[in-house]
Amino acid sequence: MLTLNYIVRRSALSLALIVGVLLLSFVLTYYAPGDPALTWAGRPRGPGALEAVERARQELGLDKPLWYQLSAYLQRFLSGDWGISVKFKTPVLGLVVRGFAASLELVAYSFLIAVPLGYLLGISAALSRGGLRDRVIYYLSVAISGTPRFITAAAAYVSLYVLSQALGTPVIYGRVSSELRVGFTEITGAITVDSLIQGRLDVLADSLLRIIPPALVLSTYPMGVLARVVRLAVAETLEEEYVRQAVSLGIPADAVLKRYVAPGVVPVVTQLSGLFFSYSLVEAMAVEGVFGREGLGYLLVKALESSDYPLIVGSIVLVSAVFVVANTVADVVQAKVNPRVVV
Amino acid sequence: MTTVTEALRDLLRLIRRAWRRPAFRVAFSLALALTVLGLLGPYVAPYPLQGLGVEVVSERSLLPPSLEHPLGTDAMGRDILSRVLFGLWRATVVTLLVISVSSALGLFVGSAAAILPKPAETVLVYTMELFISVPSVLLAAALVAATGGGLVPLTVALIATWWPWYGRVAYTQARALRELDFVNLPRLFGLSRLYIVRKHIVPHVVSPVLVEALSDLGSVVIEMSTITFIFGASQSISEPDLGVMVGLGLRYITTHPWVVLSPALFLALLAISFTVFGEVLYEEANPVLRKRWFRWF
Repeated sequence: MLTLNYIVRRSALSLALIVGVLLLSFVLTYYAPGDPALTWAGRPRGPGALEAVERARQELGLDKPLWYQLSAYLQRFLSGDWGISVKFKTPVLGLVVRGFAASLELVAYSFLIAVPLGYLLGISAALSRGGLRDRVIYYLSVAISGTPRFITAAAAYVSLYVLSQALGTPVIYGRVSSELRVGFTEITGAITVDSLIQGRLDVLADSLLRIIPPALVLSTYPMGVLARVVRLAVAETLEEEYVRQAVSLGIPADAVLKRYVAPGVVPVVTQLSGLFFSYSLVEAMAVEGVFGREGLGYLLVKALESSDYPLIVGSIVLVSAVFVVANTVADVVQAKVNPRVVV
Repeated sequence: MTTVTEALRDLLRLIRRAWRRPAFRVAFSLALALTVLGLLGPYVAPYPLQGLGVEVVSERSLLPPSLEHPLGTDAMGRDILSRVLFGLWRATVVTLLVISVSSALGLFVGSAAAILPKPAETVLVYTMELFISVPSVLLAAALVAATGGGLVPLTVALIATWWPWYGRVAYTQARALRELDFVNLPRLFGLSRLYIVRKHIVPHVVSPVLVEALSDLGSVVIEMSTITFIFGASQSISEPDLGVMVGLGLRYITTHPWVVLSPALFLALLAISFTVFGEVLYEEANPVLRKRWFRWF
């Protein structure tokens, strides 16, 4: 049963988890080897270095007692003051939100491709288990999801590059062409959404064209794994007594599959998709790099080049917090769909 | 110790059963060969100093494959075969380390969570949730920025993000056990919870966790190389790593393809053979999937 009690309890726990994420980032900041102020300031060199370290020391409050530092840290993050990026000299929160929105856009499109395809492939494999179709789908999914995504991405990029050179069309690179970018204001950071809000169909078409190849590459992992897991779940469901019973009652095969088998598999798909998110994001950053898209991967590379600690910590906090919230929502939805999961 | 040997014997039986399938035979032999090659790599590499990246000679840069350099040389004049062998060492050692440490950690924490008092159980379960939600690449980036790079931050970040998966598997398995008499009665006898976890829960949970861990070998290889690929040039370029080699070699892909092709090929072979090995094993361990089935309605 989905009760208000469950929603409140789950929300309270996810809030605790977000505080846990903040604590983890606090530990990462303060117990990093060496002087935390030096790390926070990005290991500055040259004139003004001492000043920067001193400013970082004040910002982190290293001269105060630990409990004070901890509460100040939590308060700072919860009120939206995430520090200044060493590399970009702008507030971390805005940078990270924009980069994350761009990466999330890519992950979302890849899931839009992967979930229905993986679901259909898995069901079709399970229905002919041991047969030729099953074996083809199975080994293909293992091989495709077993290849590192950045290698697939590089192969796809090079072949698209060669193709576009041969056809004389512009190369697919970046998120939107630079001519269209002029005069286009970003609201959410996800270009396909922004262009739709502003009614700019030319930008929408261009950005969609540029997002589909990387999204296809990225979708191979969730698609392959989903196909295998759905195959397993359907195989298990087909063994259930109620399916046998339904068949023996003379219910048509299509209806058995649609009404008796599929509902048992949907929670598996939703739960797994939620869990893939973190892994897919790592791969999205690599694929982004290959296709020249600006997102979290780009931010991270820039941050590492200049040891931009505030930016890295900020991205950990944001991504983990969003993931926690998304998981909570998924759990609540699942409690509505499948009451058995509420313990 | 008996629990471990028993689990290993189960695993051997599983491998023997899976051996009947040709795909498993190919994948297993390939994975074994690559692992052995990886472990021995630093000793058999023809130019160890170039493999480590210490020796750089610009006159030799970007030579095509020849007898002297079977896979050619990279932009800094280093023998690619030696680089690949050293990179393979990193990939296999880190993967084996990550899988073994995180499955052991997950096994213990997950089983303990099922039998500890309610508050401790909640804390442990949500600690797993917390670590699952942190992307490994960001954690690795923070550790690299704090410590200055190397293999240790990468391994630590991977372990920190992989162990909760095994913790979850162990926890769900152990939770089904805790209502049973052979777990409850020793409690009434006054035996400590730690003893019960070790003696009565871990032996029943170790097999599924082990199978899960082995089926994840491929994913760990992929995740590790993806992280080093993203870090790319910001890592030290002298470090022999397959992901970094692919990342830095990409710009030569049209002019000098051998620079990027051989590390990419070795990496893909390693990842695919590990994945197939783990998947077939996982399938053999699931009795439902072993049955030949046809649509009878």
